[in-house]
Amino acid sequence: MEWWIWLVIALAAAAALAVCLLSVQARRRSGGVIAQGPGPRAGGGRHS
Amino acid sequence: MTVYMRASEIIKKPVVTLAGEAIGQVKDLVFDSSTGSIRCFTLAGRGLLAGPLHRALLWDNVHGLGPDAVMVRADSALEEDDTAARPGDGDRTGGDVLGVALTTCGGRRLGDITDAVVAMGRAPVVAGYEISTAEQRRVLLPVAGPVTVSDERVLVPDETARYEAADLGTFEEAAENLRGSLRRAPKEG
Amino acid sequence: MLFSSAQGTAVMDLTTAETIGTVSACTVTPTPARVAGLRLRTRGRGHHTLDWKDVRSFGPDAVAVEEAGRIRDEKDIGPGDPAHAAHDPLGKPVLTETGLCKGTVVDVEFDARSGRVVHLLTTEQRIPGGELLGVGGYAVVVTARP
Repeated sequence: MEWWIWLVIALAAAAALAVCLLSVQARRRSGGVIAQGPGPRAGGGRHS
Repeated sequence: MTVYMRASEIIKKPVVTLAGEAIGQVKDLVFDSSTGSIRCFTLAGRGLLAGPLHRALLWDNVHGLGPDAVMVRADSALEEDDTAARPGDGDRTGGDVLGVALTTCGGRRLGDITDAVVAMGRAPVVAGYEISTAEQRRVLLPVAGPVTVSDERVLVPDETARYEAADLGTFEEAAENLRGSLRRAPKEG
Repeated sequence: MLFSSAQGTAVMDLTTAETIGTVSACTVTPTPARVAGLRLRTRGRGHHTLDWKDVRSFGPDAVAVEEAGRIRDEKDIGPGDPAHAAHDPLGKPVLTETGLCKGTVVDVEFDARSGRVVHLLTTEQRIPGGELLGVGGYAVVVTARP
């Protein structure tokens, strides 16, 4: 194959890796609004 | 007059010491679903490649929360770990309310939660939610009293649906009206 | 005087009468608000720092230093030192202790004799030196005026 095909493949792989890293990083840093509270009232539930 | 802020305005805000050093940025808001009160923040590092800090910031250690930064006295205001942000014994597992459905106890799905409204002050509370309705409208709905939260939905009393607000400016009025109606009919809900 | 008018002033060694460098920046420390050090542009690479206490006099045309040995290389100064470059207020946002931004520092008005900071000038207002709480790597923090 032509030599430049390998260059294109390498560049595409690098770009895909960069996109992956960025999305993982965005997910690690993305925030939320976390609710914490008392669980199901003791004795109130049928289970346990 | 109460000042209201969207949770998304607090998330990503830098956490700055009184000495002027940025020690992180707000990642999550953790609130108590039985009272609505904000318990703590979790933090992320500030660098582009920084991940979560695993050090919680208790609300009691926040010196000031303004439109541009969360101020703390010093680096020591942060907890050594993030156990405060994890559910304690007997607590239901902490779930993110963003993205889950807001449903009335009567069984009507009002929409998906896109943001939370925080009433600021000495002890800030989650006072309502922004939802995206089935018609893709964004409205603010106040809540009063404890809400039941699961991974799938947040349950609110039926009255809630009647007191929607279009923006933060009219939210206070809607919250007042909801509280008034719950006072008149305390047994319902 | 305004710090912007002091930028570029020559720093001279009183023992040799030679110019050591020129003033490029200042560092400020709170309680009470005062200039803690001067950053100098010297010949060659890197920055050097002069503690305010080693400044013999701050004249309109030159800053006098007892001897050139008082100048420290910036690499030897830790971030906790008030003379460290992180405590340079110029260009930093001003935050009140309640988390409100009051513009960016554009100049520092100080007393050339004592080094006391009289005002911080921001893009929005003049903030008295007495309100300064801290100058750090991220921001300048001031008290919230009632």
